[in-house]
Amino acid sequence: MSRLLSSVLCASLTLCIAAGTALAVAAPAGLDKTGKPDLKSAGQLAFGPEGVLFVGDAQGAAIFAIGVERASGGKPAAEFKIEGIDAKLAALLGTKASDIRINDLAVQPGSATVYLSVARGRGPDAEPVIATVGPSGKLALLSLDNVHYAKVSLTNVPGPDEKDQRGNSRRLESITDLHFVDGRLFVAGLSNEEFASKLRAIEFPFSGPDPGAGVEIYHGAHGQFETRAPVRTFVPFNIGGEPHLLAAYTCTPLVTVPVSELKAGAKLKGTTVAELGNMNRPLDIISYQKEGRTYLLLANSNRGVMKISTDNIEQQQGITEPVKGGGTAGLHYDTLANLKGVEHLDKLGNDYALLLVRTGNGLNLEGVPLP
Amino acid sequence: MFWIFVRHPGKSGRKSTFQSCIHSAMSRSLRMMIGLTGCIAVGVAATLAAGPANRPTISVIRDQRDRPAAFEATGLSTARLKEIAKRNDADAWAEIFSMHVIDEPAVPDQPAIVGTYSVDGSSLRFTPRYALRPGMRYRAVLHLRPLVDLPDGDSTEEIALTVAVPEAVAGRATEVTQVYPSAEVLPENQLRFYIHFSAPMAQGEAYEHLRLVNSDGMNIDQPFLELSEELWDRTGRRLTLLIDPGRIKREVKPRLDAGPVLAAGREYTLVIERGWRDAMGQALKGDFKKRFRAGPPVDAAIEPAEWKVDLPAAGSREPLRIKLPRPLDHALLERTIAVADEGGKMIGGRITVGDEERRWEFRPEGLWSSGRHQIVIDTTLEDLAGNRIGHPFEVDEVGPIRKTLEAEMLRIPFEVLAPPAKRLRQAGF
Repeated sequence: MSRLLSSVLCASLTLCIAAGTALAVAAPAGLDKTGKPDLKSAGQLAFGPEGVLFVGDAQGAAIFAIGVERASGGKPAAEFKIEGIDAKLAALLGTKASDIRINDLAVQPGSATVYLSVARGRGPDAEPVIATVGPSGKLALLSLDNVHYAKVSLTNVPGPDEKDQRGNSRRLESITDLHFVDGRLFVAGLSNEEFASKLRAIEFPFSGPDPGAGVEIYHGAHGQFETRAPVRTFVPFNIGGEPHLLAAYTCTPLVTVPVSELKAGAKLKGTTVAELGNMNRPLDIISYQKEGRTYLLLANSNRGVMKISTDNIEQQQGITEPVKGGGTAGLHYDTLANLKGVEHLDKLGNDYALLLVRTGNGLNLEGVPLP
Repeated sequence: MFWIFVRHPGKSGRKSTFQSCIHSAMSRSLRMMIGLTGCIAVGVAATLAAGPANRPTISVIRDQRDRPAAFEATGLSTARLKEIAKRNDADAWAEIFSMHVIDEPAVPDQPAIVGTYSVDGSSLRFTPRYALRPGMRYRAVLHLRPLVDLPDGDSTEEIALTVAVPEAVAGRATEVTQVYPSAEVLPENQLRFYIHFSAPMAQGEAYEHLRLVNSDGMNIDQPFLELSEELWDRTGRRLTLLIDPGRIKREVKPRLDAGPVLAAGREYTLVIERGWRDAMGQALKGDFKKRFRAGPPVDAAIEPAEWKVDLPAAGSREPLRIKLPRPLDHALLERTIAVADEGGKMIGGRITVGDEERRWEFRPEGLWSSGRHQIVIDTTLEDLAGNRIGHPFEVDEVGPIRKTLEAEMLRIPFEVLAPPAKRLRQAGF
């Protein structure tokens, strides 16, 4: 039954109905462009001011701010769970689960809508996709064909020659995490060449192409050696009323860094507040309130999810003695062994955490009460 | 039952797929006569009447390369389509006509494929948002009741069509072309490897296919820094693999607990496994192994004063050659050193790194002019252990610590002279 047709449909009777959101009537502040953003990849996600979603594009060496529908309330279902979200997203995208990758998730504050950044395809030309999951579990794609947006390019660290001798540089920076705090977007990056830890603070609305020099983050290991320390994941956190970033280094300690010291060109050392133990890869971290106290929930590769108490965090002087024998030091924590395989997490309202969990059958998206 | 064979002229010789049957119990010849008359009568009727007598069909629309690109349902009610179109509700279309991935195992509550709908008279076309994938099967389903008037007694609720997209033609198998550092002896505090592939690779499964094996044949437990955002270059053909810095840095917990990854004097093999898929989903040509021995650690900063530089002659295109006392990082050598004229303007040319990353050469596009030049070095240049110029990987805090980042560029002046013979002639010999 197949036949060749020209691609031009009969004009007068043709109606096109596109799936996707309509252009918002008024653009949020800072989104100075309209149209289709030239996103090359969709990685880390973070929500900014109302109606603004930041998307890290490592392949395109840029960060986009994209206008999305404002939060309209909505509570998550008590037993929110979508099994096989990877297979379902793949079905939506016309492919199979092994052909897509879910890169990050973020819950829109003030709503129960989950945004997912996805790659359709597995190579460098994979199509970037932003998908949404509504409170009832309905999956949809965010159409990026006509949106309000803004873009800031992350300048590559230039070699002595702006274009390298072969005309293009292989250097790329992975964006490991992204958070919006008090008018600034903090970006943790890790180069695919030099061993460097760049933490950038970019003003939003974006002003100009170059976000300025970042901050070099260092790790002071027990008072003797200082090394560059890439940040895997971080969360904004207040200590004694002062905004800080609480970060997990790639060499495992949890550190705090005061936001007020994050000035371009500075060299900063984080204060170690916890040594989380051996063979531990922190993947994602959130902070939440429960019964008047602040806790951290940290997903890591080997040990399930850790609930970390932040009592007296401001008293942590920094762990300066080596912690031996597989032990831990600093902030007290419990391991929630029943939460295994968690790769991403975010807060879902005030009472729930949203987890992306890898099981033997694929990935599940589920809400669990905050522990 | 009555069998009627309906064929209507239609457009462009298109055939109807629908046949309804009338079977008479009468004698054969009478049956034939009535049948024939019936055929003519109904045939005429079908030609005269429009719409409902056309049975709906689904067909595949192919693109210029004969790949399935869309599904089209024809033979529908023009009026009904217009009515649904007025509602401007994408979900309403999806309930009527949708396309699905055929997956093994079947996905419970599988969503339909996202795409756009367009109406043309009595046809409804669905175009998937993203191209269909080679080697996969798809099913288009048309629910009839909202769209056509079905004859009484016809309980057909839906029509489906399955299409299989042919597998892509398998190209040459992708393979590892090079692993840096090239040397066979690496410092025990070696920080990173670069793995180069002949074609783009699938991202997100690197660490499942990489192993570090010791001389007893045992896998070393978690030797690498495993990141969800793997460190690929833009082409997807080079992966940067870091050894867990937590086990290199002295006095840091992972090293205290689990020990360093490499120990001087021992032999190791970096194994890159065949099962690692390329971007087209094909496995690599074979396993790749890099065997090496760990030597003593390298903890000193890079000292350009120790470099030996062979200068070219003016008027030539000879390479400027830097010989390094120890290997430096391959990728950074290609990017962080360049040559400028006296005024600081960069000179175009070609860089070659050789001799197991102990030699850097620059051959200019044009001829060397005589006079002062500069070697310009970005101080992010590192050696195999991450030490930089003036700045070792691990800085002993007993000494003074800089509070701000140092200057980014180091400039080493050099002079390009006329070749000796010319100089002699100029001197009057």
